Amino acid sequence: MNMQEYFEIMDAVSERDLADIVSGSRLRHSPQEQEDIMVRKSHHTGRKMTAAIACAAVLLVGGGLAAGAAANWDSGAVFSHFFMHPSEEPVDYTAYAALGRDVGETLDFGDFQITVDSVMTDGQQVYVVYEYTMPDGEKLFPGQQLERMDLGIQFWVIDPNDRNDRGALGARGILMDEDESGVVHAVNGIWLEEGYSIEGKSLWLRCANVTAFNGDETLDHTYPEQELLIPLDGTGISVLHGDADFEEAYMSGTGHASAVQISALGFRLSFDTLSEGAWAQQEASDFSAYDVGGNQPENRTLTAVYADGTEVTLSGDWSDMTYGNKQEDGSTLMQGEYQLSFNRPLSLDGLTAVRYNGTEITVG
Amino acid sequence: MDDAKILALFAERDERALKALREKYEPLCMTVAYNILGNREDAEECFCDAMMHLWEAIPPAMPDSLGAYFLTAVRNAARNRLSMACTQRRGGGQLTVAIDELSETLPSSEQPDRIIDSIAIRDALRRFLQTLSPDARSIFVRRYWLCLSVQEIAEDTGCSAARVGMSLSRTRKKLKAFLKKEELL
Repeated sequence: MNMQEYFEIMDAVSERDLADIVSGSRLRHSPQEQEDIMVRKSHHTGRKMTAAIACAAVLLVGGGLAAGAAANWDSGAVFSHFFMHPSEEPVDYTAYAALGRDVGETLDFGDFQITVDSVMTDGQQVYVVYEYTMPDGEKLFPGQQLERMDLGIQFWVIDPNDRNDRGALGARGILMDEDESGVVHAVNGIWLEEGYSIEGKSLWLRCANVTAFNGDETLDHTYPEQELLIPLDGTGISVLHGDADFEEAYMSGTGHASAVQISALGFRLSFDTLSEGAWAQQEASDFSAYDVGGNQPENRTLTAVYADGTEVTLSGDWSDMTYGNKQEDGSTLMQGEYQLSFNRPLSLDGLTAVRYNGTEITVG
Repeated sequence: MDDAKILALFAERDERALKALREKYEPLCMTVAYNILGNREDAEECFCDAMMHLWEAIPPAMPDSLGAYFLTAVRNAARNRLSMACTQRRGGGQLTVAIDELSETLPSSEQPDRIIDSIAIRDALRRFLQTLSPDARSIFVRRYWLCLSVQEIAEDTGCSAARVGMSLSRTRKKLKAFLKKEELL
């Protein structure tokens, strides 16, 4: 199909649809303005950036990461597409890594290195804290004006004796930023199936390529595949639980909040039922799990309440996940959860309750 | 400033209308022009051309939706610029990606024994769009008419990129089935 045919066919779109889109548009910057903002944040203020990276419910995670050592290597511009929701607060990766079991293993591709610092699990997700170093990304694609770059890392949770035994629902980037020396730090989470035991299981991390986009075409740089197998035994961290019982807005409908879970890494509010009007209910029922990503409401508040009266307002990146659980009678029970990944680990010592949008929930 | 006030300024031939138009619609319209042309300078020129078009057209034209009217003018300016540059050129950036994505769904004139009937497909697409949910239709139009990237759609709608990608994939499959049923594939 050529361009002329394409435009003629697309004339099918009605003015009414366009009017709805224009009136509901949330874009606040043109592409160039957005790029300028991101580059400015990256290189002039030196402030760290955080990204919540939305990823489909598959296990392939494209993590765009870079280093800025070379004079002409503008990682802030190349990877700005990952920084759509930059946090004002820096992420404390050192504290994050200290929570988990040390790994310290590196995949060295010559042009770049991936080092896994630590791994931990709260029973529902496996968290991977890792670093990525690319001294000069332009060497990979000489003579190209790179608009963006992606690193193809795959995360799986497997039985090392049977790699087809995979108990994970999906993976996503949770937190990511670049430090002043150009090393990128990231945390990825891998959702586990309900009731899946990590005993005897391993994290399987694979990488074999870097892709870039120069404005006209996608460029690929492929390497011999390298992998890490990291045993997960002994990586569990403390988790507190509580019961909830209230209705909460969920997409375009509502959900019944039934439980909370909080760890040093994050908070989870679980919905045991969703209303008929919840977004994409019918479509989500086609999948065992659906929609991992950046539902970022502006009005959610969360506070940790301690026995001594201390309160800590928690911040980070919210995300959501909707499940379509098939029932024995063939129907689909829609359930979901909201999650907040904290910018820095939270102490659980003396924590007695959490307050979500004004509703206090005892945890223990 | 709301559209009625901007239109009133146009009607009064007050040049503050152009400033208000730019302030209100520049992010979305410039994104569309840039994604079609792949070039900032060309996009800026198209944006200005479209503003001049509105200045000349209003009045007597008095569109129901100023935003949709302006967006269409920007897109048409970008489309004409591409056509003038080279009739077979595939455009830049997201336009190329959008065409490639839909080429797997729509009939191709590059197939032997196939002469693409753009008018019939356009009419079928118009009917198909009415069968979609408002969310799915909005995402489809943003991707293939406005040529926004998946990430831009996510930002524009507040949905996650995963949801956008999933919705597009599902809609393309439905469209393919629809066109087969209409014997256009």
